[in-house]
Amino acid sequence: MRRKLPRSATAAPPFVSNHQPPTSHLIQLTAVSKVYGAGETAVRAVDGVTLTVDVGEFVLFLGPSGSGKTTLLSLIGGLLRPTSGTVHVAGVELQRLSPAELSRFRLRQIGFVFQSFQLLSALTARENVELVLRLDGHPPRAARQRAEELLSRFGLRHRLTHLPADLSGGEQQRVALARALALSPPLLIADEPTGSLDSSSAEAVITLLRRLVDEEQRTVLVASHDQRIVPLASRVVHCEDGHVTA
Amino acid sequence: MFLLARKNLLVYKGRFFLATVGVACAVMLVLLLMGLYDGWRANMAAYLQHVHTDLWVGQKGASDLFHTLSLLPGSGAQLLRRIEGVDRVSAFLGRLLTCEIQGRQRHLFLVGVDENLNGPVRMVEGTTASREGEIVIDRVFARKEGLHLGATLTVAGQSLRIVGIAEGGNVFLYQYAFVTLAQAQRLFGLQGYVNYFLVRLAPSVRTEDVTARIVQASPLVSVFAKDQFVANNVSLTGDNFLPILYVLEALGLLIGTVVIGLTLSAMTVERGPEYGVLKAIGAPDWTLYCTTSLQALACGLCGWLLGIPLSWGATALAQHFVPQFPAASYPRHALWMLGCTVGMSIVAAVVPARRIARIDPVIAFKG
Repeated sequence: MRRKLPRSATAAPPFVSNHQPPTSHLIQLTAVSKVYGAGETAVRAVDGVTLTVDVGEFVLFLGPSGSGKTTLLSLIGGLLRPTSGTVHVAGVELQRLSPAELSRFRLRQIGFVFQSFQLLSALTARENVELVLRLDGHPPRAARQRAEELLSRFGLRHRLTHLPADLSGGEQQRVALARALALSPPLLIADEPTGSLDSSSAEAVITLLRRLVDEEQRTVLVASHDQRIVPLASRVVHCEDGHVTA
Repeated sequence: MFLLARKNLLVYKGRFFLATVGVACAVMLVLLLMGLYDGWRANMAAYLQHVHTDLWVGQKGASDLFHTLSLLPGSGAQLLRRIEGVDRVSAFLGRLLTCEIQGRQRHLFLVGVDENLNGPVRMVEGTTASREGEIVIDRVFARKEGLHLGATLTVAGQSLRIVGIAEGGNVFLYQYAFVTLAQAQRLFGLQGYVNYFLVRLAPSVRTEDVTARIVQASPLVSVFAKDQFVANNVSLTGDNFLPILYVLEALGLLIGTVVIGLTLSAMTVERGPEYGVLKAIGAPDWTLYCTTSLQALACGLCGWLLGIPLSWGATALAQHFVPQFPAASYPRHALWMLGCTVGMSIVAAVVPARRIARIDPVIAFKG
């Protein structure tokens, strides 16, 4: 039976959880597997992964394409349901949440940054950030103000009214980062955040991610091939054929 | 979600415009048909409502002017006058006739006017026909045939001079024209006969009582209260005409729904990955459905707003080229259409909403 999402897990961060399992880990994966397809054509993208991540960690998932990095992040982010095993984030077992509860959980607890930025092309930089706040029920004026603050913090004050198509790759990724942080989620999931950036933009984004851990005690999970991230990560998790090794 | 809905529509300005025009055309078509129907009914009733009578007395089995025949001897008037509660009796003689205008055959519903109780609704030019060889025609007929005061037309082989032009006598398929009762009897070859008797009641007399007395006095007649007789005439046309209009109106609404649905579906397909991103970052499904519904409503309401003046224009154009086009425009038509437009939009949003429901948020990770 699905249980109701605890108020603490959907309320504005910083979150606390009074639900099982009682642990200090922000993320706890127990024997998690994800299988696509069935029978002989079944693909085991994630195979019996057990993993914990604490608050304030910067974890880098390193591995070749098809190694299961993105699937693992999708499972932690509640975008996929595991075939077996359990995924706890902030003390909440994600499989027990209804789709609506899971959406609300993602909105408030997890920020996503994608390789190809995934900004909404019809919205300006400010509106892309504002949208997340509006989804959470913030009044338009307050949402606009908060979006402007975040974008200014990332050096994009002069780009507020620009559409994504008019921004450079680095600028778009910074807008995406501002969007991910709009509701101050404790967990940030970034999939190949530097994959579409030039060298200097990539370094700027990596530095920003690290600052989020150092200055704001956020937990950052990054899936990447980018070796430049390795020295900045608290921990590197190697992925291969659906298995992970720390 | 207003923000996203508005922005999505503005990005696809061309499609939004096409959808709006499509809906506007559907709205225009439906309003035009509604106007046509109500106009027809109003016109059908206008003249009959104007006739000064309380009861229509006709031959047994007859029930209206256009589809059933009633022929009674004029001497029946004496019998009717003797019945208690009857104040006044006059004759109604009228039938569809062919007339000749510049070598072309045209139809008129010619009425013989008795004691000015069943004359035209309103005179707009000239005078009523009070002498032999005079005729009053309807303004629509005059405009349609290019006739004017003083012109002559040949009815049943006899030349009649137009002495007046009236209005309120357009029943779409033909128009009323008026001559004296004696003239009508001669033209119809019905000396000593009438089609109906028009009976006025004495004050404070119950219609049902007099009706019963008339039927008792002569079992060979049918008696109708004025409103009933008007309803008979209107419904005979309406009953045949209405189902056809309903089919056309339903088609109009279907076209509007399909236009909105196809436009939004195409937009949703193109925006599929972005909806996936929205789902991934935590937008609940219902907000995405709301976005689509708002877009559908925007297309629908803009189409409605454009469709109303378009329907006025189309009606004016139709009446310019087809003077007998009986159009009536009421605020309730626009309000009814507003309700239909909202309904169309909601139905049209179902397909894109279902499409959104199937979008996997993992798509956000797939570049």
